[in-house]
Amino acid sequence: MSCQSDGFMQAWDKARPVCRQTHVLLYCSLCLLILYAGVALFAPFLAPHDPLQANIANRLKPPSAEYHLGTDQLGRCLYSRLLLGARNTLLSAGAVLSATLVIGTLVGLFAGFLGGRCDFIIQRALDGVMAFPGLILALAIAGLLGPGLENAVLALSLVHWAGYARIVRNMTLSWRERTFVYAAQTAGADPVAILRRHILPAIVPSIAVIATLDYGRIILSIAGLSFLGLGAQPPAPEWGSMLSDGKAYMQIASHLIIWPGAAIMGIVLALQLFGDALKRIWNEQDVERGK
Amino acid sequence: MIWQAQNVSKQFRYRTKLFGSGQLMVLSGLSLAVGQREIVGLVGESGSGKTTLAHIALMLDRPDNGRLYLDGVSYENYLDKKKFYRQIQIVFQHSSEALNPRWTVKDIIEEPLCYLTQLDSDARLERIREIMEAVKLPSDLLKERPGRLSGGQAQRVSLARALVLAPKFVILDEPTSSLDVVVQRLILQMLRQIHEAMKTSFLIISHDLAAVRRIADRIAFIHDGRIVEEVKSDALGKVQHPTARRLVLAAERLSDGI
Repeated sequence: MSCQSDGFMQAWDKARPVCRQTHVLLYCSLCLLILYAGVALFAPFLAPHDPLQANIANRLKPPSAEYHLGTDQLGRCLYSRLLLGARNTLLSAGAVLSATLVIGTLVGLFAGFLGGRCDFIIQRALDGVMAFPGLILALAIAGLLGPGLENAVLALSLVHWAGYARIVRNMTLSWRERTFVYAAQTAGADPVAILRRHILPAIVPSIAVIATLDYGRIILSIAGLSFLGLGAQPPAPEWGSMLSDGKAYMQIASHLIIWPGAAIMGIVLALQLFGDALKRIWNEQDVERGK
Repeated sequence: MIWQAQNVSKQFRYRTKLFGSGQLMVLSGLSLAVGQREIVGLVGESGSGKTTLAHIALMLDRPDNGRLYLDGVSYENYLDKKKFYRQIQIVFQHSSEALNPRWTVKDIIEEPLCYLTQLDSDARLERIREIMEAVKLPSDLLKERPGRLSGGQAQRVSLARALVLAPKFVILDEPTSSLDVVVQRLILQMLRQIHEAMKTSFLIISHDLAAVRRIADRIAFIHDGRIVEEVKSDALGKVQHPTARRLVLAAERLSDGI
């Protein structure tokens, strides 16, 4: 901090309260995310009942000492199903996200860096993929391979990566023209080294923020597919399909849709807040770097 | 001759609204040569094609026509880019933009050593320390990032990076334009010393004749993409071409004023 000017100090003072708030937000959302991850990880040990064991005599019971969140239409413990559903929901969304991130980033980096005809062809291919509605593709894949969580993951990944590829391509295009990338070329760096050491680190923060925000959207998409019967198949617990099953009993047993709904809302909210806080903190760091 | 450009042309196509397009001739048959251990100043007004020439000279762009030679070898024959960049380097205009804001000064100067030499990390560090001393950068800046450097320091880092491989020929694109007069003079002095110590040839591209003529052996004037006049820097009074005359007069008025 040897070269603080007045302007820098003013910017610092202005940034500080935002900074504290942002960090509180970051840690709160992080705690919530860790809680979700812990639940997903240790669900079998935390669940008081077998989530698949039906008991018609006990159906649609309100919350009680034995069944913390009540029972569903087949008399299964809602609490246990919710805990084990975390695994299915979060893992499948994670699978979609990692697949789309890897494919999208690689395609985007090369399209943006190579430019010219190669870029044009990739772009048109992306247009084609993006023009395809995810739901229709999921229906087609479910028709071909049968409905199931894996096939829902496959369908969503096939549609989703194109969005990342386009974003990464545009960012690569703008970084490629920077003078320091030319400087790297004169330093003898080959294209892969330039992408890996200069361009990728520059775009990773933006991708990370977009990915955290997107994770929530993917959970909702999977829940949506399960809701339509294309995702997780009964009796496997999954938040989206639990919502779907519960909707018929909404008026007599509202806990069937409130709790899965709240679980989905909680993780989406936590991710949104986390992504937002990350974005702000990285922005501040960029300001400090004098960019 | 260490470097030579023969009849180099370059035009850019641009699009106007909707379907129209136009062509902008940036270089039109430019020929220029730089001798061994020579410092040549390339002076011209903004938009005369100076930076385009620098990019073409570094193989960052291709000329439409013409041939270039480095150390007597035509550019097409440098199939190994590494061999090419070991001999020719550049200090970019706006040096702070030529430094990756995420990297430390050490990483930045080390980059050419990583890709173009087989030195191990100790030898690289030693070489970095040597070159930082040569450009008069204090070694405690090694761990700093470019955002914390002053304009003069950023310029020195750029220079250190270009010189770290001891290339035969270095192009400096506006090395002094963003610096104040005092720092400008220090940088020029330092270039002179490095030229004498390392026997490097320089092509100094600038719009500022007053600064360039202090250290250049020869001045070439560029106008509308071609060299219009070349003179020894002690014979600037004899220039004929109107643009060159204008630049010389402007430079003289400026130095009289100071």
